[in-house]
Amino acid sequence: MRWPWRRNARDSRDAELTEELQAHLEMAVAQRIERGESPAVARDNARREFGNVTHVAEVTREMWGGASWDAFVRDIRYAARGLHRSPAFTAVAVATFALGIGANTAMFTVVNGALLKPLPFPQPDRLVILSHLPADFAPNGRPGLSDHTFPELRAAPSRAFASMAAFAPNQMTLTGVDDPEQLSTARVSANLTTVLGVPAAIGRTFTTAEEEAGSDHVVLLSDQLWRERFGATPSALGTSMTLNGVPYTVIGVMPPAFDFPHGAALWTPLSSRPDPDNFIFRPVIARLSPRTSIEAARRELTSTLARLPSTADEKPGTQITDVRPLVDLLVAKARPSLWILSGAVSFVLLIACANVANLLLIRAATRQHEIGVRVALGAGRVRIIRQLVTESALMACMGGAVGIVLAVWGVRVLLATAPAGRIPRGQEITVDWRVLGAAFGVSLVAGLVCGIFPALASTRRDPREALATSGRTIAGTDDRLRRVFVVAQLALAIVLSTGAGLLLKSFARMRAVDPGFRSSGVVTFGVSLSAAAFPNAADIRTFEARVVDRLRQVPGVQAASMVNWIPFGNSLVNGDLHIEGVSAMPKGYSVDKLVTAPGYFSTMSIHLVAGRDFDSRDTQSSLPVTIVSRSVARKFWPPDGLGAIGQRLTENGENPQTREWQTIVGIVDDIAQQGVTQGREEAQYFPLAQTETVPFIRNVAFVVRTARSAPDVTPSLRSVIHELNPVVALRNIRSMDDATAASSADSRFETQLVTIFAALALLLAAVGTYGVLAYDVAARTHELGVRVALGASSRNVVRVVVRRTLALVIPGLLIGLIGALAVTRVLQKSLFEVTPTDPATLVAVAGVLLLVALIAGLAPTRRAMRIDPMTALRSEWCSP
Amino acid sequence: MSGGQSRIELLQGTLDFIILQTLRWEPQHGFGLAQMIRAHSNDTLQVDTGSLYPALHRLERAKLIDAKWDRSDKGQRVRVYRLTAAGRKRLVVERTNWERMTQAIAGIVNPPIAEGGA
Repeated sequence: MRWPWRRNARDSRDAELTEELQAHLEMAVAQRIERGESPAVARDNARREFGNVTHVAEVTREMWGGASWDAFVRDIRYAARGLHRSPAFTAVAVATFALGIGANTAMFTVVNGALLKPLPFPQPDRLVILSHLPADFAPNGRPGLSDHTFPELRAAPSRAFASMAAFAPNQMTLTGVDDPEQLSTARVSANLTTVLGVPAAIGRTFTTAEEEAGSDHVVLLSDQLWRERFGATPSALGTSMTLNGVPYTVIGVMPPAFDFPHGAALWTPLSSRPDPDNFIFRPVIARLSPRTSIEAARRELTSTLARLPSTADEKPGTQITDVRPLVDLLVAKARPSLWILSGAVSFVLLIACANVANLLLIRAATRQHEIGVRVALGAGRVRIIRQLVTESALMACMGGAVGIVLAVWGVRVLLATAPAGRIPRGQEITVDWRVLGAAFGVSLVAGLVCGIFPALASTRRDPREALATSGRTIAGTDDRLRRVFVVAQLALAIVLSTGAGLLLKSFARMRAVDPGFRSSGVVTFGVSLSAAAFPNAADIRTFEARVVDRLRQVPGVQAASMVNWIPFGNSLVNGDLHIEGVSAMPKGYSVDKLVTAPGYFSTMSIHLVAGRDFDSRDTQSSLPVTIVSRSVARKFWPPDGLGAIGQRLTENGENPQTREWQTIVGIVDDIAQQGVTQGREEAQYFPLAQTETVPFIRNVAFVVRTARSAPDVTPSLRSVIHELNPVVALRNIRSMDDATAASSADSRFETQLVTIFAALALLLAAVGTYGVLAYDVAARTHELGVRVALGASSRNVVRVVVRRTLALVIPGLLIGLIGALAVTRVLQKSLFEVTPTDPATLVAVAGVLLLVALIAGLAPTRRAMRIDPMTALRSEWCSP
Repeated sequence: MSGGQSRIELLQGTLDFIILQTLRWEPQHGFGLAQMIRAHSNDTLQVDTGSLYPALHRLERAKLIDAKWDRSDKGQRVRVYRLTAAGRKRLVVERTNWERMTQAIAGIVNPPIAEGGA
């Protein structure tokens, strides 16, 4: 066998040593011949006097440096030879390592890219996000600062903040060249790029003057859009493009790496003039002054806010003020689940390690003779341990190499299957030096940890014993250690499977929730009607009503309608209401407020409990009408709520005008407006025909009930819109089923991953259990043979093996269940209607594990049953 | 093994000293060293090759001796060891230690007789 490192300096030194010792022998022989011995006798005697040449060479080589590179290479070479001699064993061990390390590397790649890598801005640790929100906004809300406060704060003198900028994700319709295209865009303060520290690649960024209405029709392009739409020519600068029907001048292009907020195709200036009637909360980014801590920044922000006109008169305790690292904005939602997944995947690695350690123990037992010989020949214990550990480390590194390949592929799958936005900073998730380093480190540690115990155990024995017996030895220590490893594996597998079981159950519960509407057969899409093309509410109403009419005529469409806030969509308005005759409404009472076209409830199969849907009778001049959901009706007209029909309510609590009173004409079911886990919500519906508030109807969704699939019907939907108005773009065309699935996609993703990890864990644990039992049976062939010879039935033999199996499984099970009870608590937030200590899940998992362990024990049991006493007694046991 | 006389196993450390001491006269190869040690000790000290070569390579690594390939009188290609300057210095130290040690041991084995005794 020639190894690639054969021809290095150490090998020539090796050759020299051999020559040196050979010369010694030659001279000794020559001397003996001179003294009169016959050449043959001289040769024999000289050899005897010299001793074992190989051994002398070996102990001499050790003088070349114990921990030197040479010794290391030598060990690796020995290890490689050893592994080459038992390819099956090596393959199993390397594959096990590859699975464990691959899964962990994949997960770490994601965690590294999403959580650990610094943001791609200069001095990213100086970037923070400012937030000052009413306390009842805060719990799951995004950070934000009101548009009234932001300009005041930006103008106020500050020590802590060098600069600050607001941004608002936006959607714009690009028209003029090809089909209208809906783009993800962002409106940003003029200085956002300055705060982030990224200048334009070509052209310039915004000036403060461009925040003012009138001069704000300028646009910064992303590198990608510039390439797609302008062929990456610098002459794009100064040209005009039509966004939402209005011409914008291109002033610059950002560098390719600039992607903030994520996915923005272009940026337009964000006005710093607040909306006088509303408070709009937007995220604000600031760059901290040098040496300012986040704590100090938070203190300064609090004290400054107390002096600003828009915030000075706020009652203390009603607002939550916060300064957080910018990275939190991007990853806060994903962080817990990424850590949970990392924890889960590390269990897989632990199990893989225990498995390999077990394999090594078994292998060491079969190599007892070889090890004994080497010890007898004078190899020190430390040296043998070093070699055994090198062997396992080498296997781990080979496994690591395969694992990295698996990881590269796994990450791709992971990112592809993850729901949109679930894994933040996806574009930064790559296998980089940090990932490679971590994979290598983990491999090395895994190899060392796996190798050290078996190596210690197998060299502890007196070599004479190993040499004296021919191999029928099961040493107590090894045996105990093997059992400990298997029990540990089973316990870890239980913990992981319990996690998976809980998530699966929770996911099933989630899928079983009735959202109050029937999503199958419904296709939906959104439109945004620009102010340029649709200046007032009447234009919008007319257009939307015509769209609904035309949609109904599309072949294959059974029903069509429109709603402003589609269930499971991104936006929703919530507001209070006042019922005629009820003087004191419950404090803080508010319901979802939606605008629909006639036919919405039947299209969505939302049950009409009583009364009627909106229809053509409801017009600008007719009586203002409304529909409430069942819970609203029941709350104020108990017990069945039917008394609500004909009653009046208003949104104006103080002295409403006649037209501000709406008469309830119908009652519908509550529906899960925000996602299945959020539960069904109380709602009030308004007819499109009577809606005057433009922001409520500018961005709407159309719903179509059809037997055709979404892709199939899409061209027809597009042409309906295009014929009515060629500058309106369709967005988010999808089946309502997809939207429903997407609303539970986060949990599905988490569940899938943990289940895959748990399956891996179970598989590895099963292999481990099988290995130990098979070894056991093989090692006890003699004993079992004696039993059979003495009249034990095969049932007795089976009982022996099953008892051995249970002796492994029961402790594993108990420890695992205790571990599961302690650990699954971290899942609390991910679980829906399932407690982390769900007894049914624990029992089921225990059952599955028992089953898996018994299956693992099946083959060894069958082998035990087939033992022929004569053969067993005559032969030495064969290794499994 | 020949000769009725039992041979003494060398202590570690002592061997190093003996090698350095033997190399003081002339550069020598491993076989030659073994022969010389044996001859000078009247066959009392037998150096095992399993100790000699590790010791030579250890001393070489410590730069107390160095080695080069040469031809023996009989034309055999041999690796010849020779004292370095550091080796010479070390030998002086070792030798002093050795003398003090032997004197001390001699003192214990044959205690000086008190003057004017008996």
